[in-house]
Amino acid sequence: MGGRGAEIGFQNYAGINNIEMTDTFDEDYPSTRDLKPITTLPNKNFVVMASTDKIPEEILMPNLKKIEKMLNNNPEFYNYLNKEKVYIRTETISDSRISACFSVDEVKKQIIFNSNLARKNRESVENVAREQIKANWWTKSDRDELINHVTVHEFGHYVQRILIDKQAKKDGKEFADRSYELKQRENMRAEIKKICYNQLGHKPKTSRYGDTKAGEFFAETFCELYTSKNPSPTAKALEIYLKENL
Amino acid sequence: MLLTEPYFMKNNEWYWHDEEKGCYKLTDKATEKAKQSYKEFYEALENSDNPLEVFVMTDEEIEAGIQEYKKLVAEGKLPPQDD
Repeated sequence: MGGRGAEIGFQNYAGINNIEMTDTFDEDYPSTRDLKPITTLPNKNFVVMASTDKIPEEILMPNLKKIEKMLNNNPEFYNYLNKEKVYIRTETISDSRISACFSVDEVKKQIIFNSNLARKNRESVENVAREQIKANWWTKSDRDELINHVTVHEFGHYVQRILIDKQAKKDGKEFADRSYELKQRENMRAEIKKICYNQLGHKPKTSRYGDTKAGEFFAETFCELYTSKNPSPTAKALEIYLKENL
Repeated sequence: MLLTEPYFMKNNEWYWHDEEKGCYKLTDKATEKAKQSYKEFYEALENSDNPLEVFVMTDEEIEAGIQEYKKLVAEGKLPPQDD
């Protein structure tokens, strides 16, 4: 990965499903803006990159503050990183329906926003979240957390990766490859559903997007847990799972 | 990755949820546009998740999901999807 630009892309999806995503990691650098939490997140190995500078502060700042709050309240979310960094960046993603994604390889983890966020305002981001939640496509978030929904969802993918890395270490693996990762995600979904049913007495339920695949089940449920003051039994089951496994 | 709701999910008659596999599949009522939307959605979901391989959803896979739906409905194991 690195420096390939728009023409070739992070992964060349052109002609496959008309989605292209640039890879400008090598051209990006840490933001020099003297603003908290941009200046404080690196203490927890999270680096906000300059590509985010174009995102309006009314969108970026609540999201970064939310990430910092989750890290402050849950040291296990970053303690394991050692020298590894998590980069918060933007890339050009041709499909505007894709708000963000989480990317991982053997040397770095990235929370990547669609650079089209630069052309949005807080109200428009909140409106999209409100509509998706109303349709039960996304899990619920409180009104004051609508702005953070996308980021917390991606952060959920990151937390799931921590769990997978920990399990891989236990299993003597240096890096959790694709098939291992998929298997672990399936296991986690089954385990969380089991906790929900057996310990909490409820049928597990997530959003329709959470039902598309095991990784999204985790991220959507995580998002609900951290953006709703009244999370569902499934989200509470995830909380139990995290306490037991992180 | 977080996507907004795709076209194929706008009509309950077009899709069903495979509880066992934990994913959505199409019904025999899905329109061509819904099929295209389904293909694009799962390709986007899979490809963004795995930068090492290119995932392509084939027509055969889509058709297999539809046939599975018809079989389950015929066996009374799945209620027909209605809007």
